[in-house]
Amino acid sequence: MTQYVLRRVALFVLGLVLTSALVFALLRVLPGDAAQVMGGVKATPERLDQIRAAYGLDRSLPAQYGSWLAGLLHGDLGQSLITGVPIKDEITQKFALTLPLAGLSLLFSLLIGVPLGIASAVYYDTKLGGFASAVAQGLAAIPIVWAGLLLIILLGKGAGLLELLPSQGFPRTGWSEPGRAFASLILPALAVGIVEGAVILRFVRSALLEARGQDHVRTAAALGLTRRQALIRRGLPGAGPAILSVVALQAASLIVGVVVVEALFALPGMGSMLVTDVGNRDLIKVQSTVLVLVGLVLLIGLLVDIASRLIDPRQRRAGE
Amino acid sequence: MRRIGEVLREVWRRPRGAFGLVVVALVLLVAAVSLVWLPHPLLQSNPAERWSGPSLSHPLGQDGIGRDTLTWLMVGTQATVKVVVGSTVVAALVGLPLGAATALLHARVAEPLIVVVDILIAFPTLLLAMVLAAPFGGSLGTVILAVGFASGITISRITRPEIRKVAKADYLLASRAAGAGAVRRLVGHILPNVAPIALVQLSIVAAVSILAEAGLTYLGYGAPNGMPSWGRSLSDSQASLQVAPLAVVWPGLAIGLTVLALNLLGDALREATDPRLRRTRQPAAGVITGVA
Repeated sequence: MTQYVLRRVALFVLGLVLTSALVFALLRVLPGDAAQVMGGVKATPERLDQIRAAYGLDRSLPAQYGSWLAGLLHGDLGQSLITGVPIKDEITQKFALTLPLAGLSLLFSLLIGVPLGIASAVYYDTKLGGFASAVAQGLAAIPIVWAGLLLIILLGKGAGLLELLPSQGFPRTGWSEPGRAFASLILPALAVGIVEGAVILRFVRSALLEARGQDHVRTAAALGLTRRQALIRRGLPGAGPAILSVVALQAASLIVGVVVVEALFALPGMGSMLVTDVGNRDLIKVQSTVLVLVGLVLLIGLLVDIASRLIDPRQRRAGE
Repeated sequence: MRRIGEVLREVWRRPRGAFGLVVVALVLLVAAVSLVWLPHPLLQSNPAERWSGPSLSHPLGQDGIGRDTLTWLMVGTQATVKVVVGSTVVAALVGLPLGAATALLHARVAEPLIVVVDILIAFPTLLLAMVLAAPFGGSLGTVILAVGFASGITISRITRPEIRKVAKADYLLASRAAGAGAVRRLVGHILPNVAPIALVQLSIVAAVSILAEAGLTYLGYGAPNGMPSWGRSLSDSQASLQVAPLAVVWPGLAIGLTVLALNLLGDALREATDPRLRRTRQPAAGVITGVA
């Protein structure tokens, strides 16, 4: 197990390095001249030289990449090209909104996906099961932007039919007013949760339907449990790791969903910040922020892999 | 390839597959029609009638500057077709060679490649699109490249085991003994065997690319302002939330219905190509997860 964890952590670190190289390469090598990109088309050659010198862009690309990496090792993400503010401080501050939003979205998607997925597998041969799986198909086909807009129309304050929840912005006071802050995250998280939940539903259903045919589940049914009892009591525990791995698979699209709803609901989090930075061509900030977000996805994958080893004896034995 | 025809017939026999095929055909038809005929000229606008609801001459109403919503959605279909075709082609061009490389090359080359694939698979499509858009700006090309590359990575991982299996088969050894070269074996024997799986994945890529166009356009990395596309219509409709909530419904419905059709088509393709699934009717879990 220790060996597995070490190997997996090494892979995680390798993933971070590879991601950093990819992001750096895409942002610096492809466009040709980062200073030109920052300065805009009309910048004079003197201005371009100034920009290059100020941000160390006159050094060779490997040197620039090296100093970025060296900074990262010390927890220094660099400075914004536009505002000069340390990127780390800004990201830390934005996380106060984005992490709760991502957590709430994940919670909603699990609350929707897992119970309904189980129900639709257990009752797969009834109208109810068919209905649940049809609903899942429909919801998984919805763009998150649309889900968000429809939720605003239905429930949003100011525009909605029911006027229940705030649909734009985050209280200026932040978490010092927890009730208001939390309320403003519900609709965006629900928009992500519904769409992601539909995907999770299909995974859970599929994992459980597979368990249905397994020997121990059929044996339990033969020994006197009803087929449904057997599936829930004997099949579900075995499907646990598969369901857990869905969370890792969905981590990337969860982050993407969060970025979209932050823009849609005017929430000043990581996503909105990244959108602004891309618009401002703040290359160093984009590069560091993207690395942090991808790092988060990789970290979730790492934790889920280790956790599923811990709860699944089959995987542990296979590795030894 | 005769097999593709058989698969299509098998798909058509299933209600879900038939639904998928019909909607896809309809989308293609509308895109083609919009090239030669439109209910109203694309740029004709009547500000006096902005945000007006459905009427006889404007069945879906008019948008914020009085343009005909149906006309814009019809022309937007062209963008959808471009994005779908572009993304699937890029995904196939990236995914199949990469899948073949990781499956067939010497372990010393293949294993590092596999590790790279496993890591890149975590890279969210949206972030890739943003990184591309930072220097280049947003366009349908950004959407196509981002979706195509990200999905191609996933396809390579899904086709790898299948390619390995086929490569070990006896008839491939026989073909080699008969003097067939590497290219001949790849194109003549391995590709046709991987085609069914690849086809299923590509139908998912098609669905994902439509959702991605909507999400990326909303954020400003997809169809630029003024270009007709479903994502653009959806983004623009946000301004009318209070005045004309119906305007939000149409583009979302077009996107949702088409994506649903492609997903169901993918399911039907999976059932039609994988005999083990013909009885159990398991849903094809969304293997490629997208931007939305």
